[in-house]
Amino acid sequence: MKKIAIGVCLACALSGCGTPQKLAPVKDEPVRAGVVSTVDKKRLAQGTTDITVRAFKPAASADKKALPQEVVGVPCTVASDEVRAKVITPQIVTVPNFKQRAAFPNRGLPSALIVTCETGTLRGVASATSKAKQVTTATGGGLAIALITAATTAAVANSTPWVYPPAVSVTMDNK
Amino acid sequence: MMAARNLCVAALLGSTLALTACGPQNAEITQSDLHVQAAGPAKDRVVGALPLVVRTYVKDSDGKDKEVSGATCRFQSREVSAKVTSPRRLVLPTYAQGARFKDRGAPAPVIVSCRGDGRKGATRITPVPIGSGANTTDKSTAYSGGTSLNVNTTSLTRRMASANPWMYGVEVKVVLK
Repeated sequence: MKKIAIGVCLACALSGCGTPQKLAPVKDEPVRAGVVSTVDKKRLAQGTTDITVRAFKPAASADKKALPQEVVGVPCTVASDEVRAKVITPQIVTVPNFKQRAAFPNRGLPSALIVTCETGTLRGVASATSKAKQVTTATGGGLAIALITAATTAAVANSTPWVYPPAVSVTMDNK
Repeated sequence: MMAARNLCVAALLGSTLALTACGPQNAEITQSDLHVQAAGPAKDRVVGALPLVVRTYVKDSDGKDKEVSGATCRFQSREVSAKVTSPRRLVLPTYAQGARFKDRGAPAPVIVSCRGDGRKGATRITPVPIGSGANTTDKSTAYSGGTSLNVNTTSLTRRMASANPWMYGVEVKVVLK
């Protein structure tokens, strides 16, 4: 019964437990973000992250339950201290992961990605901050094991690369 | 195991008391939120908005701060400007942070000056990165029976703050004299 409840909660979290929003298909090829020339290339890790950029505008209906409407074909710029790219929503931008090392300033943490989308009448901005790549751990050994796991996870998290989230949604408003 | 359970119960009770019994009750905010837009070149660096509550106080006969309502307060900086009556919740812009911006994109400090009932006071708000420690919990502690493990997240929080947007804080307190 407990497992079923957890499953229902997870399904709700993913779908919103209301009318699920149908997202526009990503038709264009992914865009590879350019790395700013002043960035020390030693900071770049092996992998990359695909970030889907989507734009939304508030629901036309006054109904509070109405979902925001996705806006297709909006030109957006993706910028940070380290990378630059341009996309047309919805589109994937591929950004590098960054090494986490004590030798780099701030352990190599890249600045936030700022995604700015603009049409003739609408404008929106969103930011995405990178995080140390998640280390998935499963515990079932009580508090003592959980403490050991927490300490191990903290140690591993100090060396995993900095990665950006896989999706950025930009909410646009009238200019 | 019993000791751990007792500690959990004690911690839960402690946190409940902390939420319900500490400090005087704040004056109720009856006005709607005031959304403040950034002006000038900084508006291109705006990435969001966060609320900040302004409250005004006078010293009572015991020298303690006593909240008063109805003071007129002006917010003034290079980027934002507003006039409100206390207590009021403003929704202020947050700004992108990065080495590519001058001063990493930090907006100028805000001077909050308030007047009411023949008294006046002012304070200065210096913007801080979200999660810089001024508005986050820095340390988490886990207990197991008689042993404890402190997981200090200060350095991680501070490091992450170097990438987070700039904010003006969550509450400003102005003492009128």
